[in-house]
Amino acid sequence: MTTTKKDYSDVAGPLEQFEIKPLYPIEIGGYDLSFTNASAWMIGILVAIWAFMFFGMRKAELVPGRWQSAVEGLHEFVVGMVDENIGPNGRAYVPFIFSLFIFILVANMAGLLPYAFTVTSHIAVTFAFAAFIFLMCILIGLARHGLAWFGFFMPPGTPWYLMPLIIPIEIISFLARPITLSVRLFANMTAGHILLKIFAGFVISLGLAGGIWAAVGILPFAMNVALYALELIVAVVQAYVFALLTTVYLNDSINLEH
Amino acid sequence: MTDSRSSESLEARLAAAKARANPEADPRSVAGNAFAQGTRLALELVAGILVGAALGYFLDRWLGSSPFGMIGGFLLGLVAGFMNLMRAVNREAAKVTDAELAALPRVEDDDDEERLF
Repeated sequence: MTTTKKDYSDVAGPLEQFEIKPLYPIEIGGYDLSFTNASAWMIGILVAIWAFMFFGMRKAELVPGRWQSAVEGLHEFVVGMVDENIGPNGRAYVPFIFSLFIFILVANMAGLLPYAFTVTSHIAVTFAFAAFIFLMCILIGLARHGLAWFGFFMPPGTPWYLMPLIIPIEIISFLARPITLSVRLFANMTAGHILLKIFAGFVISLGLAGGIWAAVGILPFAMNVALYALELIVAVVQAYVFALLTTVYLNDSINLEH
Repeated sequence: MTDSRSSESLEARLAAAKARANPEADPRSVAGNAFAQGTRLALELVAGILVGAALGYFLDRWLGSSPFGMIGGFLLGLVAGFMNLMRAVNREAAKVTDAELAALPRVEDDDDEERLF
């Protein structure tokens, strides 16, 4: 970054917030395994979740306090989602869905803090989740139903002459799942954060322009406030959608319907 | 206070409680949901096409059948994308009616009423 001239145009680069910077370089066997800002934020998120759960459940009371109700409410919400989408067989997967939901939720929310790094704005993170869920769905399907699980690719009532067409289509639509799951979260977080940064950049450059322009700078500032509200909703909705679709996909593996 | 609660005023209070329990949706929240749903549905279509085209491309590399594998894969992917889109929309539609049905009995045993008796 050159700061010799008084030029602030590169201070608020909208993509700078996504840079991964190694904080503690580690290299094992030629692979770069550095402890980065992304790792630091993920650990911070885990600590925050742990604290939330620990203090919420520390003294479990029959009449829950505020903190305990927050933890219980979140848990009930996930249990309700699993019950609704998977049914009684899904109870075993509640801890997994709950961990997934709360991690993505807290990661999305933490990303909205000033100077924050949003771990879910990286496709590497979201695709790792999605790929894991994808493999998990296949393995659970095979474990529960054996080879009958492959009947999933043959919708019931398909005429035999359409089979060569329907099976590849079903396989493609199954393979598209991890892509939609990961890209949706990543794209939403990235797009929102770029928008926030761009409008914040307008505020700064208009403010520096001085005079009448500084007054005009109120407009992008107001826009940023509105966008922040929208981003809060997006952060929650995307965490919810990710967890919801995971339950929907797990349901296909657990309760083989066709 | 308890004597003046006739059955007519109960109806009115029920309606008021209903309005309090299910207020008008916040327009920002509606916008956020619509935005999320829109990107989601667009993505279903795109992902299907991408996966189909990629499968066709690698089939071509393997069998040397370029360009037919990719063309076929693209078309199959398009169909798969539309199918995923259709399923996602159907799932949304089913969810809306369920949510509306689930909202109805919740109003009857409203918290405010229970606390009074």
